Amino acid sequence: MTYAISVLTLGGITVILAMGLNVQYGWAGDLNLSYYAYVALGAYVCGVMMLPPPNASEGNFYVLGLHQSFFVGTIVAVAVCAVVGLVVGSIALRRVTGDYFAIVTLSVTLIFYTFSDQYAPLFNGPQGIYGVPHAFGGVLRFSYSGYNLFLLGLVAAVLVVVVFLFEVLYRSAFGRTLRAVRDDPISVSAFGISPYRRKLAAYVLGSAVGGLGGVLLLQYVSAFSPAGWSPLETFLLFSGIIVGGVGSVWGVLFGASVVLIGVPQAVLFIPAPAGAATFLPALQNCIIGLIILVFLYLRPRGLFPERSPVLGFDGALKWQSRPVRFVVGRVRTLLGEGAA
Amino acid sequence: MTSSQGGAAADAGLDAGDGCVLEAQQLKKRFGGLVAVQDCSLSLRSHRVTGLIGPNGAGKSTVLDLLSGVERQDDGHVLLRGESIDRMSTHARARRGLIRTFQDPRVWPYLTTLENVLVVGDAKSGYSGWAAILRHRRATARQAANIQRAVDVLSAVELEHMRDRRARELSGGQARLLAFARLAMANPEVVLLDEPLAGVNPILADRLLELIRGMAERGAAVLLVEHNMEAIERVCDSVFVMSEGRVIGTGTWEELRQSEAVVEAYLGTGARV
Repeated sequence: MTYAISVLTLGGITVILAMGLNVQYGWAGDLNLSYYAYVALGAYVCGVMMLPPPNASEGNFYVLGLHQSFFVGTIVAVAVCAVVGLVVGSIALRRVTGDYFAIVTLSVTLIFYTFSDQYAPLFNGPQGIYGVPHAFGGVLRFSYSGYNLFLLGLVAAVLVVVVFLFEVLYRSAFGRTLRAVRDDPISVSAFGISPYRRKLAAYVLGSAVGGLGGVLLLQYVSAFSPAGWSPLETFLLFSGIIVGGVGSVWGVLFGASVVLIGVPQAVLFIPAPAGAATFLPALQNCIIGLIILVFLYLRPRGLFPERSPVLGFDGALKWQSRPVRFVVGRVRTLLGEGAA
Repeated sequence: MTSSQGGAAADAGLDAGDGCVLEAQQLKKRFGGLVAVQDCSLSLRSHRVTGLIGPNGAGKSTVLDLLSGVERQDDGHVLLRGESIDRMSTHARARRGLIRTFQDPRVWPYLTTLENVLVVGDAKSGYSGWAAILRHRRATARQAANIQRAVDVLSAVELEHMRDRRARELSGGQARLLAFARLAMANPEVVLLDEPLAGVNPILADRLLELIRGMAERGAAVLLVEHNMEAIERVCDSVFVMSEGRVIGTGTWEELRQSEAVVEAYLGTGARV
């Protein structure tokens, strides 16, 4: 039971992370390799906001140490991620696109990783931050297992809000314009839309959601250190997006759940050779890499490609899945176009 | 930098000032050692279709790029309603009513035909990410009006039956019609058309020429870059001829047919004109 709660909590957090990346990659079309840097930044900032001042005699150094509540920590962490996203995005997106943008963002991640690892006064260097207080620990006095259940509920609530919010945005003029920017930024600018601004908005939104995921991740492990994350983890999130359906909110929800929760769990059933502790994690990454390749080759738009609207009888846009649309299309053909 | 006499050469055949919406003054553009456009001056008037012709490599598309802000000129000025737009980006110019098309229709392939038109409407009526989240009543009403107009615009180009299909499923001709539908939705004051008839069958070409004429009749200033001389003859009120980056002649089609320099440079000595 405890194990299931743990898996679902981590899975939920991973799906939230994939959602944020999908805004940048799926909607705006930017291959952002800096995503996990924002996850780490969110976790670190929330951590140093919640922790008490560092105890130098124990060899701990970090900035802030304000001993604030989880609520304040989360808001500050998400805001910091959004602001950093705004600064990095406004530099990276202004001039470069495509592969070059990917290279710039990868560099940003590597710089941030190295800095957080080597510069101890920032986030305690390689030791990282640990012993972060429980969320709402002062108000809700949960037992250990009770807290785990509470955290799962919190993650689920955040996931529901994120999915709802993104579904609304996807259907709105914002989502529509972003997808047009992704398809052809130059012809979008010819109609009076600044591709740069829209891409920047997507970058900041994705960064903020990444930071929020980082906060939850910090609560899940109650510590965060350079050993616990790597710049390459963004690629795992890409696998969830590619399998589910690039751009599709529900597709990514499904794809990220299957690939990022299902595969790691399935791998555990494979007997590992004795004495090779790194065998299963390595095998897991191999399998996920293979899944990405297979999908890119056979089904590049994913299992549930992004939906597009159909004009309803009442003059409003309806968002139907493909099977429903197929049936509606047949009925319309039978009744004649006049009926529509 | 530039001289005020720039418009003078260009306005032969047009009366300057009156109804002149877009004016290019002595534009110059070089790519490395290659001078693509030199001393190019022209002006566009509302309610008029102006042709821009010239052999391949004459610099016609570069002029369009300079007018629309896709490229920046090395020298010279572009004026929209008498106001310099030299430092404006493509999208800022488009917001002021200067819209261009490209040689390809450049539709957004993963958006439906209707959405392709809606995006243009969204751009005109402003940003509504927050409004959508907050379910703002005025934004909802605006969206409904946009949809209604988009449907009307699509039926005007006879694409209504394709409206829920993704644009990538359209044929080449339908994509061209969709490009015109987007233009109609934008309802611009100045339209720069880059070879809209390339690879189009004669029946569709007739239809597109009608649409071009219609835009001018509704008050737009249209610049038509085209190789199809019959089309130029049919819809253009006046024509600029370019060769090797310069405007070598301007006037009505009838006048240009008489000009030896123009005939030699572009139409060829044996041309059927």
